[in-house]
Amino acid sequence: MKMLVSTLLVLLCSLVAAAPDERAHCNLAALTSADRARDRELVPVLAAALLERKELPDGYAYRFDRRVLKLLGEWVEIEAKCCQPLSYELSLEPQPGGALWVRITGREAKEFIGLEFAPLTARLAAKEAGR
Amino acid sequence: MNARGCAVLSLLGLLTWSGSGERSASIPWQTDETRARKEAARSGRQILVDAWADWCAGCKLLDRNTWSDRRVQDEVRARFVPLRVDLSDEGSDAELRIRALGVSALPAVLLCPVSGCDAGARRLVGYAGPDEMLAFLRR
Repeated sequence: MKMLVSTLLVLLCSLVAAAPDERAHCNLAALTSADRARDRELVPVLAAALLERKELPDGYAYRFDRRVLKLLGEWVEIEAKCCQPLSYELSLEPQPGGALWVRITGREAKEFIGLEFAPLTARLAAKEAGR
Repeated sequence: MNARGCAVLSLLGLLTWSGSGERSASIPWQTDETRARKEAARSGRQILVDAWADWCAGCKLLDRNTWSDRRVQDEVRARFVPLRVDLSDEGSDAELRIRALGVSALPAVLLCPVSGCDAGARRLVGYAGPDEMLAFLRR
C-alpha cells in the first residue's frame, strides 16, 4: 500500500512541479522607471473604478467601470511585462452598458495573483467590509 | 523538480509526518554580505541568497508559505548561511550586483559556494512552494 501511495505521489509530484520558466515571478528588467511611475499613478485610479472581483479556478476576474477601458489597457500592458507567466484577458461586453472585465490567470498562480493585485482590490474589500 | 527528488520527498512524506505548516525558530537571515561571507568561511557552509523586493508578490509568498515551513527552516539552518538581499530600490548597488549574476526575475534564491557567488551559482527563480524548495536545497 505504501509503495502504491508513494508511486502515486511521485507521479503527482512530477505533474505539478513547475518548470523554472513557469513559476510565477516578477521580471526585474522589464519595467522602465517611467513604467513604474505610471503604474503607481494608475493603480489608485483603477482601484477606485473596480466594481467586483470574482474568483476563478486559476486566478481572478476583475470588473471595472467601463470608463477606465483605456487606462486598464495601459495598466495591463505594464503588468504583463512584469508579472509572468500570467494570462491577461480584457473583455468588453456588448455596448451600451456591457461590463468591462480583466481576467488574470496562471498555472498554480492564483495565490500569487491575489497578492500581486491586492493594492487594486483593497478599496473594494474595505467597502464590502463596511456594508 | 526531478523524479528522484520527488521520490525522496514522497518517501519522506510517508515515513515521517512533519506538519508542513508547523513553525519552528525562524530562519536567521543575515543582511550584511561581508558578515555572511565570514560566517560561511568559518563554518564551510554555502551562502543561501534570497533576492527579494517589497513590491514582489512572489517574495511575499515565499515568506508566507515556504520560509515559514518547518522542514525548509531546518534545512536552511543546518546547511546554509542565509543572506537576504533587498532589491526594493530600483538601480541600487544590490540590484546591480544581483543582475550581474544573471538574475533577471524575483524571487530568486541562489546557492553560493564559500569562495563567492558567480553567474554559475545554482538558482531557483520564481515562486516555489516548500516541497519544491526542499528538493532544490537538497539536490
